[in-house]
Amino acid sequence: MRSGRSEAKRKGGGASLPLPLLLLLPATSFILVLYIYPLVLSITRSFTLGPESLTLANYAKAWALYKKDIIFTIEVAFLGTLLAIILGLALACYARISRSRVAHFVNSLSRLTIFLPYVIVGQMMRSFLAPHGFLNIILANMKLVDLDSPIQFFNIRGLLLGFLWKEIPFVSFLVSSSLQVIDDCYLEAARSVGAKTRHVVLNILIPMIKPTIIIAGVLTFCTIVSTFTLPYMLVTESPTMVTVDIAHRVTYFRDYGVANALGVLLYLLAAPMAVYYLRRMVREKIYGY
Amino acid sequence: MPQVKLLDVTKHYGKVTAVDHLSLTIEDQEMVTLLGPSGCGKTTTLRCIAGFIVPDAGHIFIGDQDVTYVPPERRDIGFVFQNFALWPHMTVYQNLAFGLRLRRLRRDEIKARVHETLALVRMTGLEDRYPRQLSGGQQQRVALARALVLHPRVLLLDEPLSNLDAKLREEMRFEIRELQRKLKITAVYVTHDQAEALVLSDRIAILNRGHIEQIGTPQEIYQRPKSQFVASFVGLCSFVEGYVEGTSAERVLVRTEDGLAIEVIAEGLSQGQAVTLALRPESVEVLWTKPAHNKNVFPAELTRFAYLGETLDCWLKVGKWDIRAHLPVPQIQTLSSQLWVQLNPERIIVIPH
Amino acid sequence: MGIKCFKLIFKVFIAALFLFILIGPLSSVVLWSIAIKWYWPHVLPQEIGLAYWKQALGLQRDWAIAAVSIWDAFKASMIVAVVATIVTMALAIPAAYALARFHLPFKALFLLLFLMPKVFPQQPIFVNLLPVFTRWGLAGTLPGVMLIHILVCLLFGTWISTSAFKAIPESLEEAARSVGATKWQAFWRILMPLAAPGLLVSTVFVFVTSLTEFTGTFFLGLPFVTTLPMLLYSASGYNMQFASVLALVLLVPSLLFMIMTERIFRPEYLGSVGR
Repeated sequence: MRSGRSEAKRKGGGASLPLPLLLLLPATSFILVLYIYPLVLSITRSFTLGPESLTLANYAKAWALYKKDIIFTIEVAFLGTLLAIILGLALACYARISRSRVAHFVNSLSRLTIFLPYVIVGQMMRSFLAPHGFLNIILANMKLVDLDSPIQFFNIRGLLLGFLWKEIPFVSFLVSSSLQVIDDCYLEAARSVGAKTRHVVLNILIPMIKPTIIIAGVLTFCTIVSTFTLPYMLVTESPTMVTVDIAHRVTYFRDYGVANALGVLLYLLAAPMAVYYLRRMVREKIYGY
Repeated sequence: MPQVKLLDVTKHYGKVTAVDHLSLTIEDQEMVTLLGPSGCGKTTTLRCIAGFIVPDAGHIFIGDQDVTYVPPERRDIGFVFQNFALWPHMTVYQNLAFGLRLRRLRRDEIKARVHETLALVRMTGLEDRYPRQLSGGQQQRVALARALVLHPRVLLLDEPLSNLDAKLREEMRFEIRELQRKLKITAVYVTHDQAEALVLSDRIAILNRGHIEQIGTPQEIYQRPKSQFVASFVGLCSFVEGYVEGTSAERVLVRTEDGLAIEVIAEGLSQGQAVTLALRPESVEVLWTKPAHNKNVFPAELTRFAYLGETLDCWLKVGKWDIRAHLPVPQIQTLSSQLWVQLNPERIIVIPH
Repeated sequence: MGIKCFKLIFKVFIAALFLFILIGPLSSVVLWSIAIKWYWPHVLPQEIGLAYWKQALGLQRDWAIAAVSIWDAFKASMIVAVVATIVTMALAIPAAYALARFHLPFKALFLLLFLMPKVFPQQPIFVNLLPVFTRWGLAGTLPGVMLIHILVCLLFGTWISTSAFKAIPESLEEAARSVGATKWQAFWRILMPLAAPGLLVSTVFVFVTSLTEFTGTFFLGLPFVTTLPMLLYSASGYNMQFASVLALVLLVPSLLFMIMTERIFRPEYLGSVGR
């Protein structure tokens, strides 16, 4: 009897899955069914039109209908990312170098916006940037704007402002944690050989945190490309972001072919950055953490 | 090369006074060491000279210029950091060239200067290496080179050798001293290592709690300390308290409260004056048998000893005093608890109260 | 002296501009939420009052004021958030433990799986799930919305929990094993209590994410499921005041979360809230 049990144990031990895989199974299956499956669908459906299952007709139609929006999305993504990095870096570097409490206060206060979901940001920007909204009214009271033809913000301007409102503090946040780790002695050494503030920032601080800056840029770019809420709530003119077009295509036309073609185009847009990010992260988490 | 002058420099950190009305003049081409325990204000003083810290009061002059409020990048100094502070994203060459590029020197001039300075610190051929590819000693040389390549007016060194191992430290001491002499550059060196201070300096300033206790040549500091603090900080020292009982010419008799009579050589002491006698191990001779005369001879009990290789470090009890001495080791087989010490009056340091 | 003055004025100006852009939208929403009458070009509302707040909270019912009680939507949001959080953490914690403590075969693949949603657009996923959900009878239902929320939250839940576990040195569990504890006991009595603060952060984060989730709910919850964000979106189309009240209501959990976790920040993870 005893031998029987131990034999069963030995047999059982060889056949069952190792513990870690078992622990990962629930979460993984969930992701496989609810993420990978629709992901695959989105790609296959983009090539499907009616009975044909491998055609580029959807892409052709997508390009014909939404060329302006596709270009608009690319513009907004690059411009937004560039501005977010430059201004976010400026904010973080300034807070790092200067002793002034104002700089630190502004930097910490801006962190507030990182945690606000885009749906709230959308509403805020709608009321702030409306033709007769807060901003225009204040500018009118400063005699900078005529309220009969106020500044229009429900276009690329407002969109960028909305994105930057969240992404500049985000970049600053990411970059700040890296900056904190840099010992003061590197900055002092630069000063001791004659470097002024701008030299210290450009030649010492920024090169030393290059990896973090790249990650911040990647995440910002992917965020801008993927966001649906903000353009949906804010942009009333044409052109708008591709994410809005995808929604229109599905809601009004039930046209999954073109919607998915647009989706795949978004994947391709995000792909270079995403692949870089994924490779770096996987390597970091496996070999060092 | 101009002198450096500190005039009444004071710096507070909250309630703590790090530097307390400190005045110091460093002569042209002189190397002065600021020596003291941690927290004595030596690093703060050095950083004030560099400009990383602005003093609360007082003035700092480099040459004729009052640089108290001049930012560090305009003081024309060279600073060597304790942890080297070599920029990790730049090669050795770029680390040195950085300051030169800021001054808009021509490419070929920069190249010449960098190579010349690297040769000076014996690091030729390593221009394209990154700091992480260098050993500690090599990084130290590059840090030194980076400070020197600009031909600064003053060279400031903040415990540059404390991150190196003992043997390397000894080697580098000499190299730094020779470089300073060769380049005839005024230098201020900060350390807590007294051996370093003795080897490197033209003069040593002993700092304690933000002010200078004593400043002088290494010999003066070692042989004629003016206070107990200085005596015990540089070199080994045992202390005996007493008062002056009698004087005749230079010979003074000091009586301790437990009745020991010690003859010393000193001037300007008055009858009854309280003094502290500082005894370095070299002023104490340990004897196995009682000598014939009894001048400065006292019975001693061996309480502790430690084998140091070339000597035996001994703790002896003389009366109520603990006295430290060194025995040449060959005598170890005749060690016994009851010994005699003879104090050499010419070597006893007298510190009047 | 003149240059120093100029520099100072310039710095103050930039700081003021910055603060204005930062606080402006927020104050605009606050003002709208208490505005009864606000016509341009006045900088401040002419008439203020709490009517919209009262109406939203179901304390009054005035047909002249275009606000509805938010309690139904609030209930829906809460139920979804609670269930989604529980299920997410139930899936995430074991996965996090596996990722933090074990050497896995194909580890890279798992990492990839859990990292992809962060950088690839998620909207096509929602869009393509719509016919699938419709087929399974989940479209426009509460369980369907819960599933979507779990999908969105699983990413953060897993990663923050993994960091929480990784922060505890493995030697502590090994010490427990060396005095006779089993792996399971070491997990429950040593690792879990120590990682609890981090896991708490993860849970709260997941909860807040679910409360404020919009995109997935929009595609898969319409037309029958209305959560608070959905209400906000639709209100923003016809009534500024009501929409502002809703925006402020939704602000609260995010702010509370931020205050609560001042010390346990993980930048890359936390930065992706509320897509």
